[in-house]
Order: sequence, then structure tokens, then C-alpha cells
Amino acid sequence: MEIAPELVGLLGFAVMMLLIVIGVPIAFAMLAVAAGGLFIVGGPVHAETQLSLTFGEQGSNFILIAIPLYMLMGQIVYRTDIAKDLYDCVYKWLGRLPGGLAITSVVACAGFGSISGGSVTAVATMGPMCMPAMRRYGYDDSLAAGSIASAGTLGILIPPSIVLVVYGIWTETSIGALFLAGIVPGILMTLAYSSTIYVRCKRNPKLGPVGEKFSIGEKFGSLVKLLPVLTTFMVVIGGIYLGVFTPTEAAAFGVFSLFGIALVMGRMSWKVLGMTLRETMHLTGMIFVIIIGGHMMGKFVVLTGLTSGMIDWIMALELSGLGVILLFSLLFIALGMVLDIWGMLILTIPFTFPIILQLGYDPVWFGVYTVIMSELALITPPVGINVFVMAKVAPDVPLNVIFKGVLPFFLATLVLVAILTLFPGITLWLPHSAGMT
Amino acid sequence: MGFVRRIFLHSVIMGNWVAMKALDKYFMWVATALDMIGGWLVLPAITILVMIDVVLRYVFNSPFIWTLEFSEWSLLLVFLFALPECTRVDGHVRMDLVTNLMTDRWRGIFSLAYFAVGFWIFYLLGRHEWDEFWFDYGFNRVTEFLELPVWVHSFAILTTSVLMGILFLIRAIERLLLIISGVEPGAVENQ
Repeated sequence: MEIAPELVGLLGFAVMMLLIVIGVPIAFAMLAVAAGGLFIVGGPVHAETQLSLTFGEQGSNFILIAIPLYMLMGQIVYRTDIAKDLYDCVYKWLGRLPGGLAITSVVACAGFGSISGGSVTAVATMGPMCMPAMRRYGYDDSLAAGSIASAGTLGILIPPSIVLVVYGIWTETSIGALFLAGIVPGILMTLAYSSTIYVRCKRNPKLGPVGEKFSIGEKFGSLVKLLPVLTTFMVVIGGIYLGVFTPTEAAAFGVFSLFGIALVMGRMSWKVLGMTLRETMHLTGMIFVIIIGGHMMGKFVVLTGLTSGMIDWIMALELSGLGVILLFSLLFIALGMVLDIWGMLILTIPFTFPIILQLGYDPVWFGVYTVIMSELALITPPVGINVFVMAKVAPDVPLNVIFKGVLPFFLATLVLVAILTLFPGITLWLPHSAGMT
Repeated sequence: MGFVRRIFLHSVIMGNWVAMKALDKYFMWVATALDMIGGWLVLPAITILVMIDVVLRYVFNSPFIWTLEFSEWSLLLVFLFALPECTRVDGHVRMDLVTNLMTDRWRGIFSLAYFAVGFWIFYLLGRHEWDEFWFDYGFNRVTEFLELPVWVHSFAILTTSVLMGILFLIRAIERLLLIISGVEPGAVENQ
């Protein structure tokens, strides 16, 4: 009996969800289902060949060099106290605002994001620094923990971003353009989060009292501490914007810049270097399987006609472009509650991307939109990983209190997504000005 | 008689457990070594080479023609060398929302699905790479500029597949032994 490819596709999808639910790592669940599906539809040789081709081709894809290198940048910042310097400087300038310490955390996380590509690292680095300071000043636990957990998500929007690199590879979209497109929304999100804190603390000063006062001399003196971050950001993003080098080459220079700075500052020992490289390798192995899994799944859904079926179904609904985006947003929010960011991206991109192209949206804009929506997966209950990391940093703050603190930032993100959807030019202006779109 | 049988069964299970743990130790040694080679040698080499190439391009207008080839050739090794250690330390992203609610026993039973799936994937990959390796080796295929042997790639994928297969097999047997014996993982570790 021959099974219709669409049915194999749907069954495969169901099996994959089942495997994910029973605890099989997401990438392995996808690889197994994709290989199994190709096995059924095309035979064992086809499945083996596709698996081998995907490993070989993706594993030796020059663009992918960026992934371990951006990971390495994040690890260097994490382990050499460069993030602490950044926090000290921002605090001196913004600490006196209502909710100043929380705003400092947000801006420092954005700064951290500008030289590293991850989100969890941002929370793990900034949390132990920001949380005790906010507690000393009697900040509301919910606001304090919620602001750090939410601000951590800025790391994957503000370039360099690992998630944008992976999106670019999966969808064959220019990574340079994606990086540039992430800058303005990243700044806007930083402002949105800071404004949320400011307004809340202005209305209820007990939530976040002002911090200590610093003289102008101290403030300007602290700017020196910004140099490592600024230099690296200028090297990486400036280089890409000016067309001096590709995102992959920029990553190599970013690593060199941070390594050199850490060495000069006397913060790079053999031990630190060892830990940095080891952790980078672990993360690289993890992302590599995710990329392979995503690619295999892409092949599987195309072969089984699942993508075209989905496109036809969405088109038959005769929704406007905005209607489809609204539908996707609801889907992302729902998936974000049960999946982490990688799971969401792998599951949604093979279906959503072709539909978006069909509707005439810009793939670069959609990349930024997808990343912002996926960020929500990091802070929404019950599996918001940033919240769990934050709970480890502040074990006496209950999870529900942190989730409550995250809610205003969640809403601010949705407002920003609406603005970016209505005015896509905000996102596309910078890559356009660099001639990349 | 039942008591003797239980003692015998327990000894067999414990014996196998110890054997599996010993194998696990060897695996750890190999995975760590590969991880170190990738992290300390190959990754820095790629980084330095990519930078040198940019400098040569802008300063001397004469980049190496083989940088891309070498970087791509080495990158696969970084990924493959990272994979066994990452899997060994359970570094892959998973959704533990439901499994966290389960008892150790049920979690153990479901983890068998992961090991089976992992073993199957790398069995398929390894089977194909076996043929690929002999083909590349037989024809002595090399890369365009540096003439690096292509069989190294298929051999690396084959080796990683075998390693991963062994890891999943060891873990599956360990888990099965625990399930059969009805002993909690922590209790056996302590013995």
C-alpha cells in the first residue's frame, strides 16, 4: 500500500511533536523524522544520501564559521569582566533616573548584545551584577528580575546575532543585511523597555528608587570602560556596513579585538581561554545539529508537499498580508509557551517563510520580525529559559513573581512588533542605506 | 530459588553496568580529546587564517586563493569534533516541560526513544559514509588548491557516526539495565 506524501508529512509532524514532548532533543527529533520520512518516501538510499549530503554541505559552509566565532566573542565577554565595566559605566549615567538601576540593566544587556550573539549568556552575565545592586536599593523583586530576564532577549536582536545568522543560512538571506536591519529595532526595543521601567517607577517610586549620585568627572571618567565594547562593535558592524568584510570575516576580527583587549587588560589567562574554547565547542555542537535538523526538515516538508499544501491553505483563507502576520504572531506566541527559540525557528520557518515571500514581504524584514517574536519564547511561561536562568541568579524570588515582572516587557514587545509591521521601513532603512536590500 | 535467581540477575546487571561505565569512560576520553583538538587547534587556526586573508586582500591586494577551501575543509572537523562531547554532556536543546513531571523510571523509559533515534540517525549516516570513504580513498580525491584529501572528511563523518552510535548504545544499555533492575540511577552510581 502506498501512502500519500502529504499524509507522511502530517504523520511525521505528529511523530516529531511526540518525540519532542517525551524529551528527545529537538534537533534529533527533527533529524529522525526527516530521515524516516525520506526513508519512506524515497527509500533507504535516498535518506542516507540526504543525511550525508546535509552533514557534508552544511558542515563545510563558509558562512557557518560565523557561528563558533560569535559564540567565542560572547564567551570572552562573559568570562573577562568586560560586561561588568559596561554595567559600571551605564550605571553612572543612568542610575539617577526613576528605576535607574533597572534601566541600567536593560541598556547594559543591549550593550552586551552588541558584542555577543546570545540571550541566555546575557542574563547569566548581567543577572549576578544587576540583581544584588537593585536589591540593595530596595527595588521590587518582580521589576528587578523581570527587567533583566526581558533585557537578555535584546542580545539576539542586536547584531551580531547567532539567531539571525542561522535564519540567514536557512532562508538564503543576506546575513549582513539582517545584522544591519536588527540595529534600529534593537535600539527601539531598548528604548521601549527603558520607557516601560521609567513610566512604572515614575508612577510608583517604591518600585525602583533612584541610585547614587555621581559627579560629571566620574561620569566622563567611566566612559573609558565603554571602549572594549565600542571598539568591538565598530569593528564588527562598522566593517559589515562599510562593506570592508563579510559577517564571517567580521566575526574573526571581533574575536581578535576582544581577545586582544582582554589580554591587554590582563584578564585573559590560559584557564579562562580553556573554559572559553570548551564552552564555545559545546555550543557549536549544539547549534550544528540544530542547523542540520532544520535543513533535513526543510527537505522533508518540501518532498512531502507539506509546504505547498500549507501555502495553499493560507492563501485560500484570503487573508490580507497583515492578517497573515497577525495569524503568525498568535502562532509564535502559542509556540513560544511550549518551545524554546530554536525549536520555534526550526518548526516555523519552513512553513512561514514561503508564505511571506508569496505575500511579497521582504525576507530581511521577516527575519527581524521572526527573531523578535521568537524572543518572546525566552520569557513566556512555562518554558521561558531566561526566566529560569534569572531564577537561578535570584533563587529566593519565586518563578511566578519573575513571570509577572516580565509581562509589561512582553506587552511592550508586542507594541513594537505592531509598529515595525505597519512601518517596515524602520527595519529596512539601514540595510537599504548600505545598499544591501 | 527465587532469591538465588534475583541475586544472579542482580550480579549480571551490576556486572554489565560496571562494564558500560568503563566503556563510557573511554568514550569520554575520546570525546574530550576531539573537543580539545577542535577548540584549541582547528578553531583558532580558522580564525587566524580568515583574518590574515582579509589583511592580505586589503594591504597587499593578494589574498590566498586557498583560504576558503581550507576554512571550509576545517570547519566540518570543528563541528564533528564538537558533537560527541556536546552529546555526552547532554548539551542539546530539549523540551523538558513534560518529562520534569515524570518519575525517574518513566523518564528513563522515554529516554530510550532518544537513544534509539540517535543510534538510528548515525547508523544511516555511518553506513553511507563507509561507502563514501572507500570511494574517496580509492580515487584519491583531493581539494582544488591545497590538494587536501577529501577522504578525511568522509572518514571524520564515519568516525563521528561510529562514536555517536557507540555512545547511544552504551547509554541505552545502561538505561535498560536500570529499568530492568528497578534501581534508581543515583543509587547505582553510588555503588
